[in-house]
Amino acid sequence: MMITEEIQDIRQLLEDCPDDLTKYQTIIEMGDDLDPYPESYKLDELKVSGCQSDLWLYAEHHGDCLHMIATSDAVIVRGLVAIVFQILNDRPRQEIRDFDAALLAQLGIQNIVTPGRQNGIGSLINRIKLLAS
Amino acid sequence: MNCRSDFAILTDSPDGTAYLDSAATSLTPDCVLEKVNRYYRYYNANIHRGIHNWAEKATVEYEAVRPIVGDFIQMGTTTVKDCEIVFSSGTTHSINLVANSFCADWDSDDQVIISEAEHHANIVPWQQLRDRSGVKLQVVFLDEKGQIDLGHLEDLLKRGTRRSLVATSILPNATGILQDWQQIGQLSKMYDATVLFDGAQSVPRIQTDVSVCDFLVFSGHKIYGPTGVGVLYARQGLLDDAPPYMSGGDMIKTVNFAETTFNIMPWRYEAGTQNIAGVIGLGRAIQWVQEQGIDNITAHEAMISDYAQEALKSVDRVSVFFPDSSKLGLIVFAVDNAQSSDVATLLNAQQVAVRSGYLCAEPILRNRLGRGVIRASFGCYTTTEEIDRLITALQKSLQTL
Repeated sequence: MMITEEIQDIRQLLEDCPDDLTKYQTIIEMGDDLDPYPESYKLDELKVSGCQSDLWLYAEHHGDCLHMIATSDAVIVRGLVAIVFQILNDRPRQEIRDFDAALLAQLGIQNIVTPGRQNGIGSLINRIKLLAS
Repeated sequence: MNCRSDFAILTDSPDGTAYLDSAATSLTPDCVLEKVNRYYRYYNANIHRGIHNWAEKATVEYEAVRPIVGDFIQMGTTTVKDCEIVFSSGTTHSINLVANSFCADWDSDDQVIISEAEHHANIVPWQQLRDRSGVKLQVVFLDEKGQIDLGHLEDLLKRGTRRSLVATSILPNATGILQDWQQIGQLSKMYDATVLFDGAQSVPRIQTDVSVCDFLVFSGHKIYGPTGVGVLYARQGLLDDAPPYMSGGDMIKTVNFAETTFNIMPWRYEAGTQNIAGVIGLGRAIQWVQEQGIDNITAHEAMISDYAQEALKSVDRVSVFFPDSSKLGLIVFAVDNAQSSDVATLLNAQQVAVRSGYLCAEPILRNRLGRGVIRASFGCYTTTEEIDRLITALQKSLQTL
C-alpha cells in the first residue's frame, strides 16, 4: 500500500470512533500489536527525547528498507508508534526521508501529533528520518 | 464559595472543561481582565518616564499596587512598606533575584537550606549559586507526615559556619501539605538565618504574611492575576545596596560612560519597561481575593481537598501521595500499572484537565515514588461536581489502562 493509503485507512478507523475516549482506546489497542522490544535494547542512546514518557526506538537497514522496533512505558505513545510504523516501517529509506510529516495532520489527531508538544510524536518522526539517512 | 459567575471562562466555556490545574495557573476573573483591558484601552503608556497624562495615570495605577500587596501580606504590627515590594516576572524571577543579588558575596562559609519538597524554581537557582560561589546547599527532609523535619532543620542550622538562608515553600506544589511555616521561620531566626518563603501556592489560598520571614515570593498567575508578573517582598535593608540582578533602563539614577548610579529600592530591581498591565492586573486580582475573603477561600479549598482526597482513596489502583495528611488546594496521586501521561490524556479526552509528570519537583517524586504522578488542583471556583467528574472519568480511563 502507498503511504497515503495507509494514512487514509487509519484516518477512517479513528473517524469511526464516536468520541475522543474511544479514539484513544483504539490507538491503545493498536499498540498491543507492536513487535516485542527486548529489555536489553532499552538504552539511553536509543531513547527518543521530547516525550513526557520514555520511548525507545531501534532500527536496522534491511537492504534499502528501514526496519524498526520501539516501545514506551506509556500505552498511548505505544499506540502512536504503531500508527507511525503502519505508515513507515519497512519502507524504502528514500521514501521515509521524503515523507512529509505534515500529512499526519490528515489523521485528525492534531492534538497528539502537533510538533513541539511534549508528548507528541514529532521527535519520533525526526529520529526515524535521521535513521533512514 | 459562589464566585463562578465572576469567570467568563467558566460560564462561557463551550467545551465544559473541568479545570483541575489551578496550581499551575489559576483562572482569571472578569474584573481583572477588565482592569488590564482598561490600561490598554485608555492609558496605554510607559511609567515613571513620561510627563504626559497617560504616563502619569499608568504610573499612579502601577505604584498603587505596592500598598495593595503590602496590605495583603502584612500581619499585626508588621507593616509592609512600598519600598519592600519589588515586582518581578514571577516566583522564579524573584528567587533568582535573591540568589544573585542578596547572595552576591556569599561563599563556601555560607549555606542555603532548602527542603526536599521544593519546586525546581527553588532548587536550581541555589544550585547555580553553589556552582559559581561554593555556597553549601543543604536539603532538609520531610517527616512521615510530609512536614519539614524541624529537628533536621535545626541540625543543619547549628552546623552553619557563617550566614544561613532557609528557602522553603509554605505549601509545596508536589505535596499540597501546608508546612508549619511560623515554626520554620522562628526556628531559623533563633540561628540568625535569613528566611525566604516560596508563597506561590500559599498566598492564593491561605493568609500568608511576612511576620517570620525576610523574603516572600509569589506569582500573579496563581492568584487569579495575569501571567508574567510576580512579587518579591524583601525586608527593608536586605537589598538596598546589593548589586542589581538585571540592569538597564529605569533602574538607574544617573548614567555616564564612566559609571552608573543605581536607583533605590524597589525600582533598583525593576530594570527595563515593567509588566505594567500585569502589575495593574495583579493589584485587581488581590483586591478580588480580599473581596471573596481569604479565609473563605481557605475553608472552601480545604473542603474540596478533603472531598477529593477521600474520593480518590476509594478508587482502585490509586495511591494518594501522603494519604494520611490533609491537603490544601491540590492532591497528588499515582495509578498502579499506568503511566501518568496516559491517565492525563484519557482524562483530557473526557474534558477533565489535570497535570501529570514530575510537576517541576522531580527530586521528591523520583526519590519517594520513582515515577510521575497526576495532580488535581483547585481554586476557589472548584466544585464537588467537578471532583465527581474527575472520579468518574478516572474510573472510565482505568478500564482502558
